[in-house]
Amino acid sequence: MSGTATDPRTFARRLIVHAVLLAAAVGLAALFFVTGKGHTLLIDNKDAEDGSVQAIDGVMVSVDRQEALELYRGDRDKAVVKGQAHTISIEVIADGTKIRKKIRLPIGREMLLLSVPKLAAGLEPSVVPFVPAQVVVSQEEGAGESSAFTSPGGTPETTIVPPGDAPPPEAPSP
Amino acid sequence: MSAKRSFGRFFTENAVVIIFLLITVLAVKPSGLSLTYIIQEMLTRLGRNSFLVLALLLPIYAGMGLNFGMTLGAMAGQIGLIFAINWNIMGVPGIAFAALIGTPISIFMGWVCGVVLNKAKGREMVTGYILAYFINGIYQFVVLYLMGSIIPIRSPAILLSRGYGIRNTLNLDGVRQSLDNLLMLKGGPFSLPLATYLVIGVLCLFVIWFKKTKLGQDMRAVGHNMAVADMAGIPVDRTRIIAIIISTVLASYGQIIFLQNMGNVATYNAHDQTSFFAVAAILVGGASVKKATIPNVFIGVVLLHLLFVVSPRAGQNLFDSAMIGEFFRQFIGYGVIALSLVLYAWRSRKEALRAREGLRGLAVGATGVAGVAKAPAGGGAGGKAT
Repeated sequence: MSGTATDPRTFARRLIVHAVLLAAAVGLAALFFVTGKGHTLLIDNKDAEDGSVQAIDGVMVSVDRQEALELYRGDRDKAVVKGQAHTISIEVIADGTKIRKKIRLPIGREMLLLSVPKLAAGLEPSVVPFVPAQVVVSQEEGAGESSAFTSPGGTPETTIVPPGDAPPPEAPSP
Repeated sequence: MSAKRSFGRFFTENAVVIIFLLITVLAVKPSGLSLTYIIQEMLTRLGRNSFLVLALLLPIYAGMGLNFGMTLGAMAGQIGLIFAINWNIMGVPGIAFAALIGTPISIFMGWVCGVVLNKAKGREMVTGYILAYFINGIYQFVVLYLMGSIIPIRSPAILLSRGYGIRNTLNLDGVRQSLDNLLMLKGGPFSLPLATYLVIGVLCLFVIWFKKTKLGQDMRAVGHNMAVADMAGIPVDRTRIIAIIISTVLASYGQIIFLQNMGNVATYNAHDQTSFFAVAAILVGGASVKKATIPNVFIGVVLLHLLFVVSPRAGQNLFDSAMIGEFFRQFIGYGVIALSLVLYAWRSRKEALRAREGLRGLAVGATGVAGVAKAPAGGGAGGKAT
C-alpha cells in the first residue's frame, strides 16, 4: 500500500521531500553565513581626512559587550565582531559624555574602518571598507619564488649584449 | 566451583576493562597529578571525544564490526571547517555551517564505504581501514591541489603561499571552543561544557530511539544473522549501507566537535588517528566487535583518556622521561585493540566449541528426528532447509 519506488506518486513525494530538505539546507547555510560572518573592525580615533571632525582626546569605545578600548588622539585598535548589526558605546573620558550608536556592516567586507569622531558627531559614512596597503613585489623578486629551478625551461634566459652595442659605462658617482 | 567458574567468565568477558583499569589506577599515584586536575580533564575530554565514539555504535548493531571507515566522515568534517574558516564564519554558526557542508560529503563518503563493505562481508574492519587510506589520498589531492586552484579559496590565511593548497595547520580561532563556551557551567574548580554535553545527550537519545524503530530493528536483525534477515525480507545490503552512512555523518559532526575544542586542525593528518582512538576507547569501555552499548562509550572514553592524562607524567616521574609515557600511550592504544580482537576471536571459538559440544550431547541424548531437527537451529538459514 505504501507504494513502490516506481510508483509516480511515491516518486513525486520523494522528490518533494528531497527538494524541501535541499532548500532547508541552503536556507540554513545562508542563515549561518549571515549570522556568523566575522568582521575585523578597526576602531580609529583620528582627524577626518576632509577635516570635518577632529579626533577626541581620550575616549573609551566598546563594541557590543566586549571589553572597552581606551583610545587617545591618533590611536587605532581593533575588535573582531560576528554578524552585521552592532552597538558601539563611546564614552569621552574628559567630560563623561556617553554615546550609543548602532552600526550595520556590509556582509561582503571582512575588514572595516570605524571612525569614532565621525560616529560620535553623527557624520556618515562612519564605517568604510579598509583596504590594506599592498606590498608591490617587483618582477625580479617574484621570479625568485617561482619553481624555475625545478620546472623544465623555467630559468629565464640571459640576453647577451654584444660589446659594440653595449651602452658606454656611466661615470662613477661621487 | 560454580563461583570460580562465574568469576572466570566475568574476567574473560571484561578482561580489557579490568586490565586497563588496573594499569590506569597504578599510574595515577606516580603521575603526581591532583584529583581536581584529573576530573576537570575527564570532563573536558568526555565532551571532546564522546560524540566520535558514539558514531561507532550503529555499525556494530548492524554486525559490521568497528567502523574504521569513520575516518571518511572526519575528513568531511574537516572540509566543512576549511570552508567555514575560508568564509570567516565564526562561533556556533561557524560550527553549524561546517556541519552543513560536511553532511552531504559524509553521506556520499558513507555510501561509497557502505557499498565497498558490502562487497567484503565478513572483512569489514580491515576493508574499512584500508579504504580510509585510499580516500585519504583523494582528500589530500582535493585539499592540496584543487582547493585554491579549482575550488575557490579566498582567505590568504589558509592558502599556501604558492596560491593553491591549504596550509598544514589551520587556526580555528573563529570557532574555537564556541560550542563548549556556549553554556559553560561552573561549579567550584570545575567547569562543564553543558552545550556539548547536551549535544551528546541528544545523540544518545537518538541512538536509543533509533534502536526501537523499524530500521533499527532491521539493523539488529542483520547484525544477528544476515541470512535469516534476508529470508525475513529485510534488505540486508541497504540496511548495512544506511548504518555506515549514519555512522559517517556522525563521525563528521564528531570531528567538528573535537576540533572546535582543540582550536586548530592539522589539515593533512588530523583524521588519521580518529578511528583508531575511537575504536580503542569503545573497546576499553568493554565493547566487542559484535556488542556495544552507550555506557561502553563513556566508560571507554574516561578510562582511555585517564591513561592519556596520567601516563606521560607517570613516565616523567618514574623514568625521568615523558617520552616513556608517550610510548606507553601508543602501546596501550594499539595493545587494547589487539587484545580485544584476540579475546573476541578466542571467545567466539570457545563458544562455537561449547555449542558443538552441546549438540553432540543432544545427539547422544536424543534420537533420530529430534537430533536432526535441533541441530541446524544454531546455523540460521540451514534450519529451514532440513
